[in-house]
Amino acid sequence: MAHNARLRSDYQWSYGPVVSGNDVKTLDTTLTKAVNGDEGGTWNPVASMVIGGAGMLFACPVILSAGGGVVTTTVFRIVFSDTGYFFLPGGHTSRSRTLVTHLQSLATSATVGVDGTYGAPITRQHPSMWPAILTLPYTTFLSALRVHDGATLQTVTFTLRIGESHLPDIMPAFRVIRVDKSGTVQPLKSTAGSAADANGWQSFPKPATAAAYYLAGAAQTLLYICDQNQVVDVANYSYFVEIADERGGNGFGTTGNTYHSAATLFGGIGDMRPQ
Amino acid sequence: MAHFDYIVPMGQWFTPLVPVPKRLAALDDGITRTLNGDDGGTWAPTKPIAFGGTQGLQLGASSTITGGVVAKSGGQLSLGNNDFPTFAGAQTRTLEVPLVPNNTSNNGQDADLSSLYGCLRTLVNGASIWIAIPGRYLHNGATLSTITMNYRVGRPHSALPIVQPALQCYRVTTAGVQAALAAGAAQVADASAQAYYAAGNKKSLVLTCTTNNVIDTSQYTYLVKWIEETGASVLSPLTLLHSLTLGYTAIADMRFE
Repeated sequence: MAHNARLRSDYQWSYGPVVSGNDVKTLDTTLTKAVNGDEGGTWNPVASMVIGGAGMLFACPVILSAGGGVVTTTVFRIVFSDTGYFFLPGGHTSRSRTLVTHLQSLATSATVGVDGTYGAPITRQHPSMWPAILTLPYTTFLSALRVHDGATLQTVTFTLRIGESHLPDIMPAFRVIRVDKSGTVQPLKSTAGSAADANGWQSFPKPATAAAYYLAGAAQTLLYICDQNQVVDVANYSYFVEIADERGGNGFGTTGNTYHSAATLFGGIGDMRPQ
Repeated sequence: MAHFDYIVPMGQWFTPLVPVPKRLAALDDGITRTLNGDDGGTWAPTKPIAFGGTQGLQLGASSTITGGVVAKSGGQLSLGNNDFPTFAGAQTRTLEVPLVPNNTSNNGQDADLSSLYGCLRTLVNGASIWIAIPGRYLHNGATLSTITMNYRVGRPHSALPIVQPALQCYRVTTAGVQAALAAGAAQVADASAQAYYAAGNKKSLVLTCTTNNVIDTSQYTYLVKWIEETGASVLSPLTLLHSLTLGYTAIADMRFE
């Protein structure tokens, strides 16, 4: 029903009818069914309460229980009147996420090709002519990263395979950078903890033996922990990983190293802004 | 008004009280306007019914808001844990992926850039051209149902190649382990050299994906492999690879792509 029923019309009341006990009971009963806007409470209506007209304005939190929902139509939508987005509360699983990026060399290079088996970059030529004292950075190849705008890039896990058994003088090195519109490069890792140099380069740990380095061609990983410039801002920066292959003496002979992927872990995702 | 007015001001409820008809009418009228929390009903207020306070309003499991929601400045639409805005019915979408040589070519040897079309141009018969689907074109959580390679044969052929080009797609773990999205590759199967060249017009090869095709960008990347023609009668440049058309289905909600 649209409203509670009137006991009597205004016209009938104007004649001063005798109020019976049953009349008061009816008014009382009807009142008990009314929604108490001051003190709140719980109601379980047997039919839907349909509010049309000027609608309802909630200046308070509205909690939709499991099963309840908002259904939009072409006319009635969900509208954010300012820069709001859907908010992800503290326990939402999407407040952090992992994105895997397939490594791809952005530039054609004489020393980087495509591994025919994996479709991933493979180094082709050991630069043994490069002096061992050559200091990083030395760019072998650059690969664009897929990022989550507004999130905090926490870690990047690189996966690689060593092509053959050997132990080079200088290990492969990795870094994660952002580049602004004028080309200024900023590493996402500082020298804190001595894991990286001033330019953000972190070297693969040098094992004791060639066999340990090769690891029978199995996939190996390097964890790169970001600690600066790590809140993603796609309006102002592009993001890349940069990989410098092994160099110096004792390099590989015929089979280079394959660099598969960069698995990026993002945290601090507070809302569902466009990506 | 925020509340109904008292029909008898506080402090004037004397005993015995003889209610005047006007007050009884006001009481009766006021009660009819209240929201009936037990029986439900339909109301069309002339002004918004405003709820404030800090305790909030909780709507039960069968409650549905069909009139739209406006979150004003300071207001917030917050999702429950693991929830995303959900579509009433599963959605589909199509994404067009341009093909450029960023490491899809094997160091400029297997493919390069066609200056005529601004797309990939394959150069070597039998070569496998790996094309990583850029992350921006991967719809996380959706089902990748079809992959269409839009291409044109580079030159007229006097006879059909012994093996015509083929298309396959793989999902790849972080360590490079591949799993095909279809039991077998889709292969061009033209009956004649004329049909194969098709006067240089654009052609399409569709790979229907049937397995491993629910996109999961947290664990996998996705690589398309174009296997170029082989055998006699191959001519370089072989094929112009214009674009991939990705057909997604079963998009249930608006989770991050």
